[in-house]
Amino acid sequence: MFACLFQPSSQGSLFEVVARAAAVLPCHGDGAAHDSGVAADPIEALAREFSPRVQGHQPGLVSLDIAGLGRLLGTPADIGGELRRAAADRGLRLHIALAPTRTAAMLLALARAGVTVVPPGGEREALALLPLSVLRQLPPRRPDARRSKSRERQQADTGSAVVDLLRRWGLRTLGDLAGLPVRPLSERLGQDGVMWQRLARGEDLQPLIATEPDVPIEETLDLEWPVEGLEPLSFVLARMCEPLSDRLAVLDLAAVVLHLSFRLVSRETETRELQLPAPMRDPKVLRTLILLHLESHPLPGGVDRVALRVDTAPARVTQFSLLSRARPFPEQMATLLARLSALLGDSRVGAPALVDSHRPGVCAMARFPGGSETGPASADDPTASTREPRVAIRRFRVPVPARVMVKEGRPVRVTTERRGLDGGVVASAVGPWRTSGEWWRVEGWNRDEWDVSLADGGVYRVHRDRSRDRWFIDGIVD
Amino acid sequence: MAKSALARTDLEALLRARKLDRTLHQPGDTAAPERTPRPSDTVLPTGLTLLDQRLDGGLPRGQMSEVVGPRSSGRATLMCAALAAATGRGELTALVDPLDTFDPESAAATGVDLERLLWLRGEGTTMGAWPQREAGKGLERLLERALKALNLVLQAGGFDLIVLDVAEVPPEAIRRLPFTTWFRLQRVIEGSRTVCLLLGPAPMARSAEGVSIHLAPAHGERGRWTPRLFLGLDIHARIVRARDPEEGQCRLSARA
Repeated sequence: MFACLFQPSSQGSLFEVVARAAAVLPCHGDGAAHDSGVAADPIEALAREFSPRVQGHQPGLVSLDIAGLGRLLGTPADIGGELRRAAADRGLRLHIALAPTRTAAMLLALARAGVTVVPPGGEREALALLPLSVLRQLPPRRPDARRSKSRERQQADTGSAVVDLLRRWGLRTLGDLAGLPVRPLSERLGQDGVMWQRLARGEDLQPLIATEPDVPIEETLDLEWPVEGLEPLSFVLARMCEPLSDRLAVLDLAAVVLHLSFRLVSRETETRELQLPAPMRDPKVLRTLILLHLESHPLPGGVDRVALRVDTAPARVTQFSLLSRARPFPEQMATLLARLSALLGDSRVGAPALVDSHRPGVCAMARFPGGSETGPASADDPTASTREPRVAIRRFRVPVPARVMVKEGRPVRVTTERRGLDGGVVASAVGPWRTSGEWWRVEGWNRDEWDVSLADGGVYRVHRDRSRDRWFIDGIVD
Repeated sequence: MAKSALARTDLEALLRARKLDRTLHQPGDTAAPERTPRPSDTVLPTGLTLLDQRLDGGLPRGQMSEVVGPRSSGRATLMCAALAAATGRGELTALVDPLDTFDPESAAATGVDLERLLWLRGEGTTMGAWPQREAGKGLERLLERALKALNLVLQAGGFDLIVLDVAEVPPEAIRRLPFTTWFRLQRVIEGSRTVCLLLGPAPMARSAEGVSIHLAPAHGERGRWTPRLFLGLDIHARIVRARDPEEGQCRLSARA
């Protein structure tokens, strides 16, 4: 058994309805409505007082599953009466319909004022006299978040076109449409026509998709006296993270972004945002990550108010594979990376990444571990271990200036000021390999590269910057 | 006598519990202990077939090993080969690089799956200053941070191969580190699946069951050259183990 609540637009815009309901609902100060789990839509909030299975279709139109409610409130007519009384207490005048199917309840709520109750098996008869135009008011068939607006609009347009066509055929009521033979209707209008006929008969095309109220999860703590430094702040954060984590656990959610707001003694507000690598809700991990962030990015002064809000996501379900190698838990990895970032700096921790450029030595940092969950890269390559490996290069991030003596166009001696790079007579040299790029930018390059073996025993890669006519050591072949 | 035998039995049991029983040696027995092939899950193959054969399968897991040699002797090449082999098996690896000399481009060419490599960069050459030129304090701070980072990664677990690359750090700076540093790091990975590999100019430290791989240019020549091309490096690898007078040797080649 389903009930549908509809707020006709004649009572004003949604904002007016919300404002009127907010005036009636008890208010406990800033954010109290959110904390108590009250949804922003007053009709949805009303529905949630009667049933946990509620689906909001559009502003002002809500369906709820009232199966089992009879043991508490009595017959469907009694339930309808209770719903009407509760709505009236909030200053809402709603169309209320109770029917065995959700579609029938919705169509009746859209078309009729007051409370309408349909007994089991009577939905087709109850809908028969409703005008065809009520089909236009039905919400899109799958109103989920992933559905694009354009597709919803397309479906609404199709529905409107079908209703217009049916009216041109001489049909006026849902009963007329429901009574048409299915096969000829399908031949003329396709599956869309059959779908609209099933709706006119009050049949459900999909089950009720219960939605959870969008409750912001946040904690705020006003301190009696300001705290300064990480150690006292860690106790404050522990006091906030634990209840917050408990609430996440109750809702089976996890934090993905932490929004921190610190009110400083100077009356300024310092805000921070921490992106977590994976959904998590362990209070110790959350506190550690916040502390490590504050260690590497200290607050400018004492704090007398701390607010912590989290963006949530469904909790992670850990399903290990027997075939792939076990990885560390994301919480552990996030803590490790945060500790390393605090020690070395944010930009110095991560996975190396190649850059789509011909510039020698350019690289970037990416998030570690990378997103690829594919299996071993070369496990299926039996020749991988027997191939001769490639030599690796040690690269100087900033090329080392060098003095190079050139004879007959080839370097014969390399010296440098840097200790540790002795330089010396060139034993072997091959090159030059000319590369250039990004000539339109200041940082463009134009160089001749050489591989040289020096008397100090090393094999180096050196280059002559052609635009400046200067020599540099790029790296060591090792 | 019975008491000392009991103590010896206890000691041997302790060593077995820590997987160090391969180092047991009978007193007065001058012959090398009989070498038994290691189970495949106790070694980490380097990806270089000849070297792995000499290493009885690869670098021992749960131990600290080292690769030492002069400049251009193939230290980075061996490191990249081991990283490529490990990441190719889907294992997570880490590289502590205090001088920031790692070249992702050549590593990717070697076959390293960069997404499975955690790169911890020091401020070595990015600042435009070659560390040897800096005052000793700067280099000490650089090494101190690198060792702290290494310690954090070792303690976190979950990594199969962790490399500390101090190959271009002056040997005297490494020798100034207290030896307890290495001892502490050895204790962290004991019994785990992690291989800690040190790259240096001279022998630094290795655990009792670890190996030292001494690299040198084969025949004293710096690479293979033709008049027009640098073809690659010829590397002579010598493997040194504790209580194993028989050193393994092999010759490796790497192409440019």
